Amino acid sequence: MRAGRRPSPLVVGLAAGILVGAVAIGLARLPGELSDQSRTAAAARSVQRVGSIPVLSPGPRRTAFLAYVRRAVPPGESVRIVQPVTALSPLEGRRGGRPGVCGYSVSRTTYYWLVYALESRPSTCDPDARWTMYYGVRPGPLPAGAGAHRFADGYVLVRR
Amino acid sequence: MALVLLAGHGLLRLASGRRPHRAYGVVLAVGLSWFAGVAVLGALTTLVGVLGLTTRPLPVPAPALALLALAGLLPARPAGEHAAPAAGQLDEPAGHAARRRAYLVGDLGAAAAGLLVAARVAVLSAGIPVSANDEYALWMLRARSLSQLGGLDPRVFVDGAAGYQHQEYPLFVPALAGWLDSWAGRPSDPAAHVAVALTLGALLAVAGALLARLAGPAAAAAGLLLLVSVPTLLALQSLRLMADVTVFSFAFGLTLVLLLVVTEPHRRAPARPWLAVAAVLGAGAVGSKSEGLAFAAIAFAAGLLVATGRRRGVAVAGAAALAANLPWIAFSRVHHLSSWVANQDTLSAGHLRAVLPWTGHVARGMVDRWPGGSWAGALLAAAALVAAVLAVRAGHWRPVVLVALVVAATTAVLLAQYVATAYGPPSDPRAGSLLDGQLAVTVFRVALLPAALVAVGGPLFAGLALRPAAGCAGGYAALTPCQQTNMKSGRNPYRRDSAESETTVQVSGSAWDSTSTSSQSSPP
Repeated sequence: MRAGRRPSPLVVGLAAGILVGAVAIGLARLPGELSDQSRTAAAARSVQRVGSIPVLSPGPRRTAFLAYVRRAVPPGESVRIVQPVTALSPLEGRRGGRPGVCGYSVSRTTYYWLVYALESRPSTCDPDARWTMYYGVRPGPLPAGAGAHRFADGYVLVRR
Repeated sequence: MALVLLAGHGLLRLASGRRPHRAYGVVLAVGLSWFAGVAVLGALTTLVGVLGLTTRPLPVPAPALALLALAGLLPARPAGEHAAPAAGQLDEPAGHAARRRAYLVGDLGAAAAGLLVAARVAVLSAGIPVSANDEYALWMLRARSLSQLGGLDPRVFVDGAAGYQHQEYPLFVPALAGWLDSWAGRPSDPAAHVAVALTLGALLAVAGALLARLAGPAAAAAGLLLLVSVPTLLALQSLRLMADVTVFSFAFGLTLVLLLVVTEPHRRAPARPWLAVAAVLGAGAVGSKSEGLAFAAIAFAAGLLVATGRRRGVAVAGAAALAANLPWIAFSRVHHLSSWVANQDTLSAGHLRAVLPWTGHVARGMVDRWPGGSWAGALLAAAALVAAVLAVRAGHWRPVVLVALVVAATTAVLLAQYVATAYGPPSDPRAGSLLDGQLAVTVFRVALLPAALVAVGGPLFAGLALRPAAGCAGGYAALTPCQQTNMKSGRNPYRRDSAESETTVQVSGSAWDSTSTSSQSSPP
């Protein structure tokens, strides 16, 4: 076909066929996508909350501990997070760190959730941090003058 | 949100030199104003954060956006703006009146689709809390840090010791969510979901209206249907507070705008309004996610290749898009926020040699997890190929080449990214499972742009093939035979001929219409 001329019947037929086929595929796909969207949204909306924190895989008890920490630690103050030690993730980008502390050699998914759940209370690796949250780990001997709130076994908030 | 929209409107007016509804039509003006507003808010928030100022609305971002909004609403013409023509001034051929009606149909359909989808997504998602790993680890954590800590707190944005992920990711998406948090007075997932819904709605409105201008309302309707039904876009991604939908929306819009620039060149057509939009959308893509930098760079590079006679304008638009993101790029460099994908480890010769054998595995994995990569996807790809041949035969080789380049290059970049970030050689048992996990949870998100372009390519090219090319007896549409000769000889094919009419209307309802536009900045 030459530009500037009317397209030939063959071109019109092919183009029309493509447009009709595209509409057919779109119409075949769309109901499934909308249905999946409704189902996914309904499931996501039904998630329980403790305070403002949704209850995810850690469960309601641990989530309640996070809500407690949020109430106890003022916004803006740093929190040192201590978790059970796991194998070092191959995705770990840091060259070194203390295992179990501030996300190093721990469950990273859990660590990131804790960091988010405590938002506006940034994570720190500082051993002298005012606040330390033990999440699934029993704290050792407390420093002199430190106070601890034991929420459950292994779930403790320590304040220096 | 209204202030974001109005600020975007003001930015478009200042950048395009025309009132947006006159330059682009009402539907495009609204959709593009949202994108421009998101981009200007992101750039402004990033800038004030980098300068050490507060990222909360007051005292800087909100007044700055208000000024921008005011500039868009003022009756007086800003510097560089030219009077729009009175309706009677248009010396409009009868065929163009029909085209204008077709655009109106396309615009109305696009607006309806955008509104319906935005409303549905907002209603469905507003009650969904942040719960996916990337939502909380990457995007919303940063949003909440901007709104609650009030700036680029170094403990979150700089300190590498605490293990925050992807600290080099840009801030446009967190800036928008943080902005809404600040107005809500607390972290607000519903507001962030509404912002995602509006972005998706704006994408559909803009895409539908642009497709109608490019290929007619029938092709636009088919393209919109395919776009909205790209697997996982609505079903999953529209419900998540991540940057994938945003970067896709900006990059897809950018590609369509560049398609318009290379498809509708007119010897007197003022490229400025559309290149202004390209700059805004490019800035938004770069500022949304790291992949956006690659997507925008590829789109602009492809535009440079095929936009003969408009290359300087395309280059300026690309440079402006990059310049809007320079504060964050500088911040990342100064604080050594290295990329997880491209760093001295992943790009070392030894690592690349070790992981190169994964290329075939990654390619197969991408095909398996391609959004819409089933039999229907194969049919759509085949249809796009056939339609591309028809469009090239009709003289529309530029849009075909541009789409092909963007699809091929973005896919290649994504493939290279997976290969380069493989943990080790295939002999390492951990590397395979990590790579497969990575492919499973990310391909359907990051490959949206090439997947959607392939899907929409069929109707787009088919519509182009049916479109009579104006003013040309053969070869490239809209060029005189003389200009085609010039193009072959390397001369600017868009240079105005002194005998050409001052009143030719090329694309009604867009920046290509009317006499008024001829007095604007000349196309390069």
